[in-house]
Amino acid sequence: MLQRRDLPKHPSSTVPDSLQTASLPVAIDCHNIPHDYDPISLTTYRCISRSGKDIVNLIPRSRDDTTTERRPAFQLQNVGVHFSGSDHPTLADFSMLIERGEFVSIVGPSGCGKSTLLKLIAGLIQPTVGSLTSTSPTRADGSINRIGFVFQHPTLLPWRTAAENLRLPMELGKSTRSVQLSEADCSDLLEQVGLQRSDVRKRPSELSGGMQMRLSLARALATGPDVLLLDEPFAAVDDLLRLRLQEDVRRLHEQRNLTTILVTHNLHEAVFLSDRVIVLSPAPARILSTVAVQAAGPRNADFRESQHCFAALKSVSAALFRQSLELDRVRDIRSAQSQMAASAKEQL
Amino acid sequence: MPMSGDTRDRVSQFSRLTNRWAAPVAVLLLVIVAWDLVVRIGKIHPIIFPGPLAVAEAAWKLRSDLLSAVGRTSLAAATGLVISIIAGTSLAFLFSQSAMIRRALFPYAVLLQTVPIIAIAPIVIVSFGRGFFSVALVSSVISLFPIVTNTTTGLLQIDPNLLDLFRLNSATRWQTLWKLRLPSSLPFLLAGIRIACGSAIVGAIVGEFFVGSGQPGLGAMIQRKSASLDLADLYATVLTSTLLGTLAFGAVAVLGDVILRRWFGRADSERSEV
Repeated sequence: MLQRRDLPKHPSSTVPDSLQTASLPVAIDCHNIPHDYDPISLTTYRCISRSGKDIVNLIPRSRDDTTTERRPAFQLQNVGVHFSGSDHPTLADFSMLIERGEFVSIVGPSGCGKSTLLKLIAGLIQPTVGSLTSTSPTRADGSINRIGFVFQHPTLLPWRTAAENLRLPMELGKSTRSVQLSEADCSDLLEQVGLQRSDVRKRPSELSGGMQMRLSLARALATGPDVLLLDEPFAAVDDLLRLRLQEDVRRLHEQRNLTTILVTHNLHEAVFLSDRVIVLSPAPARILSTVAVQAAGPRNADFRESQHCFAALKSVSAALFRQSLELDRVRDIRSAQSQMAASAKEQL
Repeated sequence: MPMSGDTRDRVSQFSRLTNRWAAPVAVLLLVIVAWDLVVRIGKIHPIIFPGPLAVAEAAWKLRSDLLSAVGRTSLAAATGLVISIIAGTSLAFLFSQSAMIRRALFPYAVLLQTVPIIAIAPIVIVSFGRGFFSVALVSSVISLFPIVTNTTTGLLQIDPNLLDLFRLNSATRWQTLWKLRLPSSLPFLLAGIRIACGSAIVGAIVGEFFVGSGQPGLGAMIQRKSASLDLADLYATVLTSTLLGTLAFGAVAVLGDVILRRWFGRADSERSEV
């Protein structure tokens, strides 16, 4: 039996009147999750339409689903990131949990701290306050990077061949890596991401944009990571190619048993790929809503057309709709603050 | 299909070449004709302003002297350029390693550019004597700056994502320099050398000018000819110097293109064309 919980409402999630008139489903979400929260309850939702009829398009994961595999990979607790030189913190009091083996997408407005979040998880940025716990075990030799990162652009070294680009992560670091990629290994990798085996000796300039992106993905997988972080990797490729890349990424996620976190602007992409979509508020980011995506079968063209896919997309859109209202609210608060500051100065 | 593509490429390359050269060659011919007309119609005495034919004659008469002078000057300029490349890239390395060093030393690198080379040459000669080394040194002083600035820019202007990639894989400072910064800065270094090679020749000629007969080259020859008022000879020497500078610039540009083409594969080499 499915178990449903009512989570405490965040003040900002009070449904505004303007939205009441629109017959959109409203996801009631979990903000400022307490420290001792149960990761399983993270995907507990209730969706209500204005008519009061429950639209349970988000089925909470029941406790029966809990297997030993469901373990947290990353846990962010009250993390704050404040870059020196900026007025506002990029992240403040942010908490999030990513389970192992999960595919999580993070969507939100530009500049809300999505990429910062990803860099934080990658260890490229240290939190100013709070803690980031990674429970993913390190490999036996400890030398290989557990995290594969795919950037928005291919980010390849143009003077290196595909194989040499794939070997780059192995060549770096203090200790010489015990694992070396042979040319056959490189060809295998290329094949896995949908490139030709013969591309192994080509320079990036001889590959198309989409092929370069695939090579970049292969490089992220070259070290055999447990975690794949994708920072808007398909933003610069055309629509048709994007669909194919998405299917490849999902396939690799399942085949390699990865924990994958994707930052994207594309809602369809987020829903199609993910087990969970996290909608962030404008900076400093808070989790506005977490939408679980249900899939009966594999993620393919049929899934794109499925009811589950549409339902999840609807919820994410609804959350984003609320977010646009929030944007207005933030703007109002900011202008009020600056007016107050100005009048305070005048009084002085 | 590759065949037809190749042919088309070659045709377009040919038309591009003619487009590129037709106009400047036409201008050159026009200038020579105008020059000749001015001298003939104005009946100007060749001692004051020799015509193009007189200059050509003088150049032919002086051909062996000119050739050996070109050889000496080129050698001095090349030595100067090599010194600048070595010193310049080393300085750029230093600059790229710390903002502190950069802030402290960069004003003095600018000084190299702003100090008049005419003033530097006598000082260098007083310190290092009237020889080949002084000429090469003057040449390197003037050609150092573009190499330092260009290479520093190249070493620092790295795609932040690539830097993140290196950090993600816990690359050491040395690995980042050797495997990322240095190869990325190659196009910048080549552009710097292209600018510097013209200056290096000017520097060598100025150096020879001051060294005089101690170091026979184009500079010394210009000085001698202007002192003896052999104007046709002087014009021939000056034009030869200009030609040398132009040829050196062209040679370095072509060499740079070839290197970039090999280094980056085909598509990226287009970028380096100015």
